[in-house]
Parts: sequence; C-alpha cells; structure tokens
Amino acid sequence: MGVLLKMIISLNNEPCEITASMLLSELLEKKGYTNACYAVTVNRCFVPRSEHSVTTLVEKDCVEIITPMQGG
Amino acid sequence: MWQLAEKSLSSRFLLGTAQYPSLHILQEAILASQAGVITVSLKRQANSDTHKNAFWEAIKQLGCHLLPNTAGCHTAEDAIKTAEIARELFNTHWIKLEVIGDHYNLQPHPMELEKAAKALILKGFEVFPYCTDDLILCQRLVDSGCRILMPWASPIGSGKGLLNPYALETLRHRLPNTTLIVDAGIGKPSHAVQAMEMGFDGVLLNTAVSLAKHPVQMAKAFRDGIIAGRNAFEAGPMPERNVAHPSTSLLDTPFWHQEISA
Repeated sequence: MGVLLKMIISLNNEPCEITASMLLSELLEKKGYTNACYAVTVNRCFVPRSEHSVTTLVEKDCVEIITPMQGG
Repeated sequence: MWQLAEKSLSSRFLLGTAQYPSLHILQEAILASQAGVITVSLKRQANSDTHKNAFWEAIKQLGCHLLPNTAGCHTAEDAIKTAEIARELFNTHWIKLEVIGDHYNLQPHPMELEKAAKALILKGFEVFPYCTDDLILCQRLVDSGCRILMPWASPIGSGKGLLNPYALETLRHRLPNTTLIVDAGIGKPSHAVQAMEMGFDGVLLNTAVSLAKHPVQMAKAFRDGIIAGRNAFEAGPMPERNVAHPSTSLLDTPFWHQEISA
C-alpha cells in the first residue's frame, strides 16, 4: 500500500489539507457542497460545473465558493 | 404586458434586494411591489458560513426573474468574469452590467462598460448596462448590441431623483427602439412617476424602498406610481401653456359680458 500524499490548498481563504491530485469535484463533495446554489473559482478563474470533475487541484491552489447575496 | 428582452412582464417595476431590515420584510416588499424582476449579487463564501443560504431560500420561492449584477467591478475583465459566474449560479443569461469608474459617486466607467458589454454580448448574455445619461455612450452601447439601457437618474443610493431630466428625455427621444430603464438615484415615487411620464419603459430601484421607514408600504407606493406614470405617458399629457386658459367656457354664463373693473 502506497502512502497518500497530502498537499495544502486554500479554500475560501483558509488553508485546507487535501490528498494530492484531488479533483475539484471530490473536494466539493468532501466539503458538503451538494446543492446547486454555488459556483467555483480556482485561482480567481471561474470553473464551470461541467469542468469540476476534470479539474485536478495542485499545491497552493486557491479555491473559492461563490454564493448568492442581496444586491441592487 | 410588456416585453423585457425575451420575457413578457406585467410590472414595469424592477426591485433590488439589498439593505432590508430583515429577510421577511424583503419578501413582503417584493410581494407588495408586484415586481417581476429582482436584482441579486454574488459573494465569496466565508468558511464560517453555513451551506444553507437563507437569502437564496427566501427569494427562490417568489417566482421572480433574477437579474444578477456585477457590483464591485472596476474593470471590464472583472465584470466579464463575474457575469460568467452569475450565469451559472443563477441560471440566467441576464446580467446587470456595472463597471464603476469613480469611488465617490459610483459613476460608471464608460470605456470599460462598453468593452465589457461587447464581450458579454458575444458570449450570449443579455446585457443590462448601468450607465450614465450620456447620449453618445448610450448610442455606443446600442451599437454594441445592447437592447436595454439603464441610465442613472442620479448617483446610486443618493435618492436625489432625476438630476438631468433633459438628458433623460433626449435619450428617450433619440433611442425610441431601445428599452430604457431608469436605474439608480430614485428616492421617492414622484421621481419614478416623472421617469415613466417621459416614456421610460421601467424603473429599477432598491434603497428608496429598503431604507424607507416602512419598506412594504413604500414598495406599494412605487408600484402605484410606476403604473400611474406609464398610464399618463400612454394617455398623452396636455401641452403646457404660458398663459391661463379657463377650463369652464365663459360663453353664456350669467355675467360673461361684464367688463372686469380695474
């Protein structure tokens, strides 16, 4: 059995340890983002929902969850 | 009914969702306004936030069309990114395009606004640009493919009403085939009436309702004012005159032939 490598990314501006080469979709599932009411940016770039399962995270990636809020 | 982009709407009132005393009052104000379109925004989630978004839960059951904005953007690049996020988040290709050029009065940046509008239209968005009342800018936005323009009445949140009625009337006259919605600076229902009497197609406001002493009652007042203004425009106001003209015919009244004594 090989040892799973870990790495640190930023999730919503806080450090988050994840398995190396984790997919964005895996991170979202692990963190409980199962409803449709969010969007995601990685390193300030929008990642469409259709690409979550083909986006591999790398060390120091900055993942942010975007949600609705009040606006005028 | 009237047509806003591809949607048929009964109300010409578009209402913002920010700065209400509570979510309950927000819901009640939206219902009282009978607005068919409400504006929304987007934010980065903090880790302390729960996954359940109370605001989203409160508005999604109201059945209004959503108009997401790009508030906080100062460049075309940021506005385009924000619009793409909003399209997925709210499942709409409508975007209220805000690109701010000045921090003091939140005046839109004309060049960045036009640049962003062009790019977003190419990406399939229905762009609702928040713009100034400058005729040339507005013509450029129309030339870029915008079917709807949202010129300000006065700076956002100022409540000053229509600072330059001449410019707004000129826009209406020069852009007869463009949907024009007054956005920003409306403070009182009389301001909304004034814009609608000019022939504007709709009014978008937020603070005038949310910061009113009684937001729900104020939402009703705006609802009625916007209807009154539109009715007046369609009815065609009488021409203004510089001299008095008796509304009662004086012919054959008992003393019609008497001279007026000095």
